[in-house]
Amino acid sequence: MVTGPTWQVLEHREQSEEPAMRVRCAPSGPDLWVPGRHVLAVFEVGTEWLLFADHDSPFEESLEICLLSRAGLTDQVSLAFFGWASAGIVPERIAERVFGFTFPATRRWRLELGARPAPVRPRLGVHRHGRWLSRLWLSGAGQGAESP
Amino acid sequence: MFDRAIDVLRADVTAAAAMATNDAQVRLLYQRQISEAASALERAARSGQLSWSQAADEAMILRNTTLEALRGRTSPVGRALAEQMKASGLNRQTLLARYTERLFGSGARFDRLSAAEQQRVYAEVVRASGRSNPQVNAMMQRASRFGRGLIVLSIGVSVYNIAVADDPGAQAVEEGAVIGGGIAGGIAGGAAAGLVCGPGAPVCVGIGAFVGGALAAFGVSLFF
Repeated sequence: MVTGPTWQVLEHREQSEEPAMRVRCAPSGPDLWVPGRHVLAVFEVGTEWLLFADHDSPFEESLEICLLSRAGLTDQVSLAFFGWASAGIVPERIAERVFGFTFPATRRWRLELGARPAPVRPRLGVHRHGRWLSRLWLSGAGQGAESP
Repeated sequence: MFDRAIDVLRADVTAAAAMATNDAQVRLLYQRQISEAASALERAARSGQLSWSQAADEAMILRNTTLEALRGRTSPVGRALAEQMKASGLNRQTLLARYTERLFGSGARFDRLSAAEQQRVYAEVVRASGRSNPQVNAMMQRASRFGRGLIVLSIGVSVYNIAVADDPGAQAVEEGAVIGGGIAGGIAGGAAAGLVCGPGAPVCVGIGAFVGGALAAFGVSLFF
């Protein structure tokens, strides 16, 4: 069992293409299945949690960002592309609902947790799993948020 | 003129579809080879044939050698993507630091670990080298399915054109030449763009492949 300051990984499930983990976000939080092999960080935002996880394949990494509530996984975005390797992703909290991270080494991202879902913009390497609306507003650092 | 433009476009799309289908097969082979090689290295280290340190070093090399070995079988765009992957800058130190922190917590340093702990870090590096990206694998599978669909559609159009032609034999030759020329031109155009733009430039190579395919298909169509 792997434990972080605000989370615990209770169980791993290795499937051929989509590894998953059962994670408890806080001592009293729900335990939920999320994609990935390794939790990088979990941030509490009001009554929700924003979880960053990777697939532990450094030569060609996938970053999973999941919005979790007591009801389950409510929103998700994955970042992956050919050649996006990673020596380690360190998500940071910039403001209450704004986060930053670098992935791959040359690309800095800004993530804002919106109050309501907004239309997403197609971006290279950003996978929305069929969602057209999202509260996970992603943009390049230094640019405006993806949605108002 | 309009029919010729449509033929050129169809040849270009078929060329892209053929390349995507081929690259998806190469990707599948890559997935299988890196996974098998990592398992073999882990077995060799467990049986004492290799030290864990040697196995980890081999594992780091194997990703690049596998890419190199398969490079000759990919399209120019696939080759540019592979070159971009190789230039990712991961090295022994960054990988050891990554797994040291993952296993022993933030701030842990590899050189301060015990021999047994260092072996655990090396073992993680070996296992990680056998993993490929699920999103990229899924992307390639989707591209392959889409590519195969386009090839079937293109063949269907060719069959229709031949069936309704006054001279089916001559039409069959034209269809084969234009589509074949488009594929060959796409590969040549992509390769030429790779030479001009340098390694690891998939967008430039993609544009080169498209332009090369279109020019070749157009050039061949002028003979008919």
